[in-house]
Amino acid sequence: MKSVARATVLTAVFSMFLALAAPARSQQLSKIPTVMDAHPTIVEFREDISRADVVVRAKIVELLRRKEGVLADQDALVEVIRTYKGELPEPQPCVRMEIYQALERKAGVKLARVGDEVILPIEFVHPYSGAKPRNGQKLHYMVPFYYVIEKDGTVSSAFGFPTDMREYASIDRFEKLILDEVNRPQSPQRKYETAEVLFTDNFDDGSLAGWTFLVGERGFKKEPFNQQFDVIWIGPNSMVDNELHGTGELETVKVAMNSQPGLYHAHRNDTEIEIGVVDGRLRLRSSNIWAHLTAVTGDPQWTDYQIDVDMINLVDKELPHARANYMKFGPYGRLRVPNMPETRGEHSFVGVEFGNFANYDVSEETFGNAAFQIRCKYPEEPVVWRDHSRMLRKTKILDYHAWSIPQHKQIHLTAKYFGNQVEGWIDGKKVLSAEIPADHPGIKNGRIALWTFETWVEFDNVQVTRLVPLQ
Amino acid sequence: MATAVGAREGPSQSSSIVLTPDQKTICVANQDSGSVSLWDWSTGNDVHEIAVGNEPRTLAVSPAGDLLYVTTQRSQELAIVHIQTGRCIARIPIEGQPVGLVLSVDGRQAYISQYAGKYIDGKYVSGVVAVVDLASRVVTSQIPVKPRPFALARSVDGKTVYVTHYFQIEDKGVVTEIDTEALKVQREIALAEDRDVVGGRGGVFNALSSVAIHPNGNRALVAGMHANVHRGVTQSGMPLSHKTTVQAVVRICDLNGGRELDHARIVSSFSGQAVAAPAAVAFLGDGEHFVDIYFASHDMKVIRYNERGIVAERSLLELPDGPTGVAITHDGKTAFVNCRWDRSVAQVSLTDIRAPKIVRKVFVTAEPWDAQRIQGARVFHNTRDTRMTPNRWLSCGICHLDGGILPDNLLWEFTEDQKSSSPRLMNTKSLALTSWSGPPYLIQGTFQTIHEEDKFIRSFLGGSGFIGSANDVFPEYPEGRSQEMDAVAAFVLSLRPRPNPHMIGDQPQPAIRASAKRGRAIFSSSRVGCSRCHSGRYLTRSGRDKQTKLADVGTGLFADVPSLHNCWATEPYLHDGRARTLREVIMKYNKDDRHGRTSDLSEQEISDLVHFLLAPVVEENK
Repeated sequence: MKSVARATVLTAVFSMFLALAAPARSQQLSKIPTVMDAHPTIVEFREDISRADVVVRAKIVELLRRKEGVLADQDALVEVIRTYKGELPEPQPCVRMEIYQALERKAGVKLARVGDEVILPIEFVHPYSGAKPRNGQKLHYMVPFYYVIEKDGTVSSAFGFPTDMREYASIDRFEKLILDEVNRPQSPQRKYETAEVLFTDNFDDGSLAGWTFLVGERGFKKEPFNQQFDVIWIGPNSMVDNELHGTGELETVKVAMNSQPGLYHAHRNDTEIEIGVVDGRLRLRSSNIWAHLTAVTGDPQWTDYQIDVDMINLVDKELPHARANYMKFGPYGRLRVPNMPETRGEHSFVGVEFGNFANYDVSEETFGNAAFQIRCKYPEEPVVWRDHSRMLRKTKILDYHAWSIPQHKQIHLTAKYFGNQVEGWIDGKKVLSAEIPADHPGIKNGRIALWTFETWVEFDNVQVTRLVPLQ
Repeated sequence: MATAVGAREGPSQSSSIVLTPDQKTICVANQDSGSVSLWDWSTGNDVHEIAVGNEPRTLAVSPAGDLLYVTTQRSQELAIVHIQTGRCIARIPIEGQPVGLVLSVDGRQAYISQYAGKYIDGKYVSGVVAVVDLASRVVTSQIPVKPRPFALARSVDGKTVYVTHYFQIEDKGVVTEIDTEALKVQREIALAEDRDVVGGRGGVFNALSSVAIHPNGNRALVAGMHANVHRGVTQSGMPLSHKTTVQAVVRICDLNGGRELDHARIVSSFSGQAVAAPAAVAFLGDGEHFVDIYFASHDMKVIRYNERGIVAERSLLELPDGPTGVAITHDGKTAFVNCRWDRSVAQVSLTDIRAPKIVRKVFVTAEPWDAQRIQGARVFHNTRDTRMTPNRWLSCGICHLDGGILPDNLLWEFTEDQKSSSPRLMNTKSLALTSWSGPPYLIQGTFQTIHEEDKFIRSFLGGSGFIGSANDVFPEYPEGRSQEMDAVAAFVLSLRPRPNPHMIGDQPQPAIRASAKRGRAIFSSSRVGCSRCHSGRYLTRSGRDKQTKLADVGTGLFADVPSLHNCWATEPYLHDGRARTLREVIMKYNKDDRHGRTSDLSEQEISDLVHFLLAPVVEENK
């Protein structure tokens, strides 16, 4: 209970900050082309349908919670009319329907109301232990974006459809598009086998040799918005980060070598950041908002390989509610860092990770912990508000599985990259598979990395093994 | 070793590959062929090869572009090639293993590092930089410097020549500044040990292979290795590991202040992708970026120059085998890399520094060695082979340097599962005498075959190994079970020491000849008894029968008896390097006369014995 209460306080503080920063952000956001001007394209729609666990047509029966404003969303009891994909155990589930940045971004956006018929691509989000989804459900049902079926049979998007989707804006054609994607034959998986070990590190020698850390560069902007979110990657060479205290003052965060050999320390938001090898494991600890710790190694020319790594996720006693934020961790593959190790967001990767689904703000009451997912990040502008990063498709979730992340327990994760195929395995069992988009910089080759975001993870027994076509 | 920017107004540096001033011709030293090759890269792939002497190392082209100067380390000469006719027109004797070479701005003088030192006025000087007047072809000055001078760079104004010393000196790397007007040492820049011992980033700065001056003239990059010799169970509490032993590093010198920027060390193997054995460093164009090439991992990094200690890596490119030198065009858009083991020059486009690519490769010399020997050289050095090491950390050639000939002159603390019977400091052995002094091999005579090094590869180097074994039991007769290890053995057995500066021909230098002759008598006498163990032509009883005969000479370890040929070059001495000089071996660390009965030798006899050891002439090889 205590942690939930503290998390609520943090969320409240965060919301206050957002409210204060909103005008400046709005001004800045107007310069950023966003999907919210028109969403989705056909490609984006297909991706959403493909990734969803369940796709249904449903009628809103009751709104259990409704929130407007910047992060407009609502919890709705719905009655399923037709199921296109997957299956829901409940005939009348409670779903979280989101429209990011809805009211701020586009005047006149109307959220769905009771009695509306809607198309819902639903994704399962696993709750933290102790937190209960509404309606007695075992899982949260997250709807990242939904579509309203008007009385005349047209289908509408809150932000309007882009040109290529407009011809599908009738329910019959819309349904056909959904079913085409659901029934689309999967491209055959190419088979592979392991070859030689390219890299191995068990950290038993207490050394970070061979690893480097992405380093956010100082890059002050005149716009207040950008000042707030300038530098977010932290490595041993980082010297500057911007604090989020809202006063416009910048705080220097020095990541310095501690007296304990090989362990780097920094403090931010009264929370410890640690990088180093402790007891034969790589510690990346950043129980803190907006602190990326990314340890990179390997040859950028590596093509097909699998990454094996043992990981233990630890609760930070200094900030036990930190996991209510955006915790993520795991390996990256096909990492491209044009300005290695400095980056202000221009790097890209295909991660097989645990953590909150995409960048969803599920901190409000749902406390999802929640996903095992394949996520690819594209090169970004130097500063991109994280939600926009998702909405702008700078970050794509390629596959997803609801997952309760164990704490203080070792997980063996295997991430496989073979051609454009990516797979995620846990403890020897295949869970995820996806194809890297053809336009992603990591379609062919790249380094590897281990990373954490707002959480504390210890990594061990990292191995990279080349994959070759099965003879 | 080393690197060069095509001659123009600006700094220059010694290199095994250079461009002519018109940028049209590549000149490359073929170290193992005894030749240089000229390649007019602007017109085609035709290469003209010219014999210049044994082991050509570095080159320089006259400002007029008509003459090519070449140092030859084994022939000990400065060869002069007329570029247009492609003929070697002169060979000027230069004692002491000449290696590095740069010309004065006007091209009238050559500055040459004499790696092995030489006798000046009857006294041995362990490091010398010679100044040669190129018109008269006479050595006009000899500037004594610290031992093992190697790579050179000349300042923009020509008033200063910078000299790296290949090996660390008392735990410091050293760059010597020479005033070319006063012809004397102006200053020494100390490159101190990096103390990140446990983290594995640090070490003493050793194997200073290349020096490059920034176009602004205020900074110099020095490429070398961090040798983490103070890591070990008894020293730091943590044993050495394949990751923490050696790092490729670039140090930055402030040439105005005469000091190192110690916060700005660019430890390029520690970050991103391990690389091994830096061979050359060179600036691109205006100095915003530099390239660093690595002999053992055979790749090239383009790094953004910075003084924050960040390996700001913009790209990593795999090169053909054994890159030793790089020359860059004036516009900074093309690099030419001399790839020793591939016998080729790779033309690399740097138009996009984030995606450099090899656009052409030209073979510049016929393979001078038999197939097994060259294969062995490649395997011996190659850190890209995961049978040798994961992630390109180590290979045999990381500690056995300069083509396997030189030991790193360092002490390493190996543990029982590495290279010692218990945690102890071990002195890296010279391999140049392997064919004379083995089997057995290793200090403790552990191996009867070179192939058994595969055990060390699997344990310490972390490789998967070359020799298959059933049930993890190493085969009793490993020969013939791995083509690669057969080749490594052939390569190691082919190594030979370079000329001894204490000798002229097969005789000791005149200054010590009589003394060395007396020393030989002392050495051979039954009274002292050195020759009981250091016997025969090769001054060792090892290598002649399979019965390993180890000896404890008072150091507490039964060790194989080494050959004493070439011991002028292999300090420190004894298995744990406790003796810094031969005199200390004889006197200071000869407890109870267990290492020959030397306690009653007179001062003159000790001196005689030392002179014999420096210039050993034995009956069998007269």
